Amino acid sequence: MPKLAHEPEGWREDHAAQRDRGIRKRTFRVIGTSKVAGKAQGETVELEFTEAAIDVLIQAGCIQEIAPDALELPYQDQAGPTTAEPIRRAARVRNPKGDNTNG
Amino acid sequence: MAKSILLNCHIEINGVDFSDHTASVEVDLKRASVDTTNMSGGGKEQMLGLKSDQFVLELQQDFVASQVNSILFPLNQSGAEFTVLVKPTSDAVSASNPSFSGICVLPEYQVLSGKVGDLSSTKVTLPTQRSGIAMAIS
Repeated sequence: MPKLAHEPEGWREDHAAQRDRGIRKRTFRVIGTSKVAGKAQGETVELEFTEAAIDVLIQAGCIQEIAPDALELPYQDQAGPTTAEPIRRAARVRNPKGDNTNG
Repeated sequence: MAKSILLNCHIEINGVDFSDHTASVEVDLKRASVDTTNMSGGGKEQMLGLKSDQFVLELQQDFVASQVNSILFPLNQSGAEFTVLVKPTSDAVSASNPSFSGICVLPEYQVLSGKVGDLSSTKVTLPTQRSGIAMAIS
């Protein structure tokens, strides 16, 4: 894939390397007495670590994974989906002579 | 740039803040020296090769959950890679308070050391993997 003009140097390689090592961003709650990534006990923290590094933190009693349905999603406070209005628009018809008119 | 006395360095191992359990800290940047001495000049010449950066920490041992041993023991046993982050002070990262971070492993871990009456502490050397220690100012 060609490199994009605005792409930071090494970005693509870094992400490929992270993917290979199983790193992805996940959200946890701090339950231990030690701060984790600057977050104190009871706060939520977003970590981008390997599975093995996360397992160490969970087994040490530092963090607890939050179930995805317990997370506050951005759309929860918004109104539900509304019925879509039908689109009314004149169709463009091409006549045999070649000049286009609105029908 | 003002001179400073180390009072409140910020130390994180695998994301866990161990600043209140760290007695000393070293951030060591090392490069292999590759000899390229040749017949021009009459003196030695060298190029810098592979990095072998490392962090050296003296930690006050603590066996309570989420503290020193509960993190270091499994990191040593599993061989997992983890991040280490050190700042000169606990303030936010800035040009005058840069952060130094690296992906490390823990090849050696002395769980207990000392004689009667001593504070239980452990000195760990955390060699970085691949790209070494990076400095950030924002």
